Amino acid sequence: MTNSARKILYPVCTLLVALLASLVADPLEAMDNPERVTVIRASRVITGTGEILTPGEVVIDEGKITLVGSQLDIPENARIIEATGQTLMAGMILARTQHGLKGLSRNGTNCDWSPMAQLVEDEMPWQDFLEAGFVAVALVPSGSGFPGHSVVIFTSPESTDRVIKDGAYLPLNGNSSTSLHSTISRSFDNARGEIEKVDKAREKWEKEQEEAKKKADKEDKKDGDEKKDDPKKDDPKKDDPKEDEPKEFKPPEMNASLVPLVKILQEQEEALPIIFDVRTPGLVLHFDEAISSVKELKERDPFDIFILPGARNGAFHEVVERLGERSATVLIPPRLSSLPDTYIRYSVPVALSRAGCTIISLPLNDDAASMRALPGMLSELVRFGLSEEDAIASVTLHPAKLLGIDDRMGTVEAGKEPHFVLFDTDPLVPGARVMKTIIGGKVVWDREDQ
Amino acid sequence: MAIRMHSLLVLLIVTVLVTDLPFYCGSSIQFTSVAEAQDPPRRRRRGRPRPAPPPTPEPDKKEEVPEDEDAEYFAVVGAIIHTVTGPVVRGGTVLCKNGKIISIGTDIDVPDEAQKIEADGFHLYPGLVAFRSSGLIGSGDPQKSQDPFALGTVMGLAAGITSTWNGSRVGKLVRGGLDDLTIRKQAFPSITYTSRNPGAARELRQALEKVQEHLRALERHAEEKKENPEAKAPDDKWIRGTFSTAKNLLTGEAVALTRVSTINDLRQVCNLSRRFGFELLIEGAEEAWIDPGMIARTGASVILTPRVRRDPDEDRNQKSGSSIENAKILHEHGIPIAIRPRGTAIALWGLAGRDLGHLPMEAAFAVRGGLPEAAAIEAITIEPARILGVADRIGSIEVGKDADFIITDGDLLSYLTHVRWAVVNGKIQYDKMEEGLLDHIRPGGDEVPEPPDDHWPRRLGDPL
Repeated sequence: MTNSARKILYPVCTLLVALLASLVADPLEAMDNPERVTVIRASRVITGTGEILTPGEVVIDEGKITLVGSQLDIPENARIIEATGQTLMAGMILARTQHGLKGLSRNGTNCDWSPMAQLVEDEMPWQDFLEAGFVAVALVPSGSGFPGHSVVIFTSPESTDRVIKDGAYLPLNGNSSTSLHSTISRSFDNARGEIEKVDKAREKWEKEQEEAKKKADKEDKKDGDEKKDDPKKDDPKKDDPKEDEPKEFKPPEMNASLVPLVKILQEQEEALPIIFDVRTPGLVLHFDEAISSVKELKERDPFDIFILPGARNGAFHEVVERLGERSATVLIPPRLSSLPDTYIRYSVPVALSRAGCTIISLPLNDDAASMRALPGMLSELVRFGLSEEDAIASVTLHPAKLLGIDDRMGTVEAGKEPHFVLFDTDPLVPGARVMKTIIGGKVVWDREDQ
Repeated sequence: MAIRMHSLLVLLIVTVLVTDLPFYCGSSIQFTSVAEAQDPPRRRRRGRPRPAPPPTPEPDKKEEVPEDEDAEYFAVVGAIIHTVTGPVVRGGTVLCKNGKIISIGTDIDVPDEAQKIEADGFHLYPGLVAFRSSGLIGSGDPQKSQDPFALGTVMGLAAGITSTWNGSRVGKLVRGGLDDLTIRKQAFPSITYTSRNPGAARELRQALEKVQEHLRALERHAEEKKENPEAKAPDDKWIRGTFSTAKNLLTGEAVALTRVSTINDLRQVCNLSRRFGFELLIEGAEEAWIDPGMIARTGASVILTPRVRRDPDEDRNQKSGSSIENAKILHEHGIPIAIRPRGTAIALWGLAGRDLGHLPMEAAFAVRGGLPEAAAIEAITIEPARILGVADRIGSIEVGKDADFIITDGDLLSYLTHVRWAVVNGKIQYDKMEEGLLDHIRPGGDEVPEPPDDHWPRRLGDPL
């Protein structure tokens, strides 16, 4: 059979099957459920809310999870995704990646840059994400300083509405403490300049308004009668903006690359958090020092989201307490390390978690192999003392919270969107493999197809 | 008899006044003055420096410890205190408050809340000052470049160094924080005036001549202005680069740093210094022992590296080459000397033993050549502090100075001695037994060490 024949035959067959099914099904029930629900039947469901259902079913209706339970009554006409023997959990979320992005990095302060400019839809390695179980990823533009903002997208290859959130956080990269100090002070000084620019323009405008008012009052007194005729004489097009102008103040346009920083300075609600990519523990102290040297930020709570390196990070034991005190959120690859210049095994993520930090797990490197290896590395964290719940949450709920999308995903709960990943066994067993990745209730990646 | 007693008393007072003998009363010794620590203006140091004034004893005056809720007290009790600028106090106490030394003596009440180090039998010295280093503190402004968890800082502290000059700033070795790292900005214009580079020498000489002429013109102009307020000032737009350096030297704003070894070059540069009247700091000076009087007359300070060897020049019918007595001879001629090792970093290879990790050993080598021990210790503490212009804060144990000191398990100049604790700004920054660098070497301070239980692999424990 040729390909084209198959293409024609396939819809025809489905139609026939559907017709038959509707004939066979109870007409009453069909009336009650005009649209079929989807049910995923798995041997285990890790809900992410502290429950593990064995076996477990997840009911999806109209693009939302409607029911999560064990041994539910399933309507006969439901579309069933059979996953017996497999473990279902919420789709994994990658809190930071540049995998597959094209183009050059940018240096300096470019908070308005979007990684979508570096994304070529046809050339994105969506399979890499899906094979590792990631349903959503936060892309960040590459570069030093403030290279731009992150964009959270779905990883399904055929997606019309890919962007989940445009602008989730501002990554900050500083290789050396000296450049970090200068980047922070310069960027925020410029942002302050933009605020002052607007304030000055407003003052000027208010002054002008007052003067115009005085003038108008005087003119009114002078020629009360003539004024009535004026509007007719004047071109209405010309007149309109003149009347509009005094009503509303048009601020001068701010430098777009500084607007997110202005929002931070003004403590606006939509201000994005800054995530600092820390290379050495000392940079945490320099970051605090640099931030507190910005006068507006001095009195605020310390910034508390950091990305730590995954390899040779034992030296970070020096700042574990410091980060724990502020209950920081730390993005870090779950890898075992050792204290510097010793053979003493040390796991920075576990130590941080114990100190009171929220851990978000990242792949060791930003590539397909590391992404696939992530669940196996999580099991190593559990072996070293992280609770299983925290380990799972570090790739589901915690990143969802960080990215501000936890109302939509991150756990398997009624009301959330149906994005899942199915493992052949418990995800925290070394060697666990992703069997299916489901986005929006549809299987977008299946190991059996590979 | 009464008259006899009276005359005896008068005699005693006269003796004390004339001989300038220190007059101690009671067992407690207290010092308060910092004024002597900072160099008097360098101009006055020409020739033999005056002997250090004896500490002003204030017997029976107990330091009143005011009630202060937030004050952080730190005390070292029972150590042999080598104050460097004053006498040695045996079994004394150093009490610090908020990072400053507030009292030194044998009879001091330590507040209950004070952090205390019981240091019976240990020696306490001011923190060593390393003239010129790399890798111990950040480059440029340490406040912005220091890695607070750098291994170099720990190793520097383990070597007893608490302050150093990185080429542009004098900074402290502080770990785990970024407070109060930089003591002051300090840079020395480097001049080249040797026979090997006659071009540069000529250029410098001419620049100095031209700027000197300009300064005279300025003086004339100032005179002229008194009579004629509209007198035109001499043009000074050309004072840039070398000329700017020359101006700073001639006006006394800066001290010239030069690296010379041979006696001929030393003579040349000293002549230049005397002719133009600028201050000079000589690094190297291996052949200075041949004509120390000349350097003393110039009023130059010298940075020595006693273990550097220089072969004599057999072709010349005069003294040449390095001498083990160099430091001793210079010291005898009243020349301020600071000592630094050949390496400016902590070396784990190559120059190990002649690096900053062994600063006291370098000074000890000068003692081998005849330098008094006290002078050798001064050459790695107060002298470099004076040269760097920070002697008002560091370099000796004095009331009012920063609480920067090291507590060693023996005589500082002994090859056996290790730093047990290093204290900077009144906080323990290094503890040999906590650090894991040298804790396995004579942990009890014994000369014959016990072998460690688990030498390798060491401490394969689980810290979590």
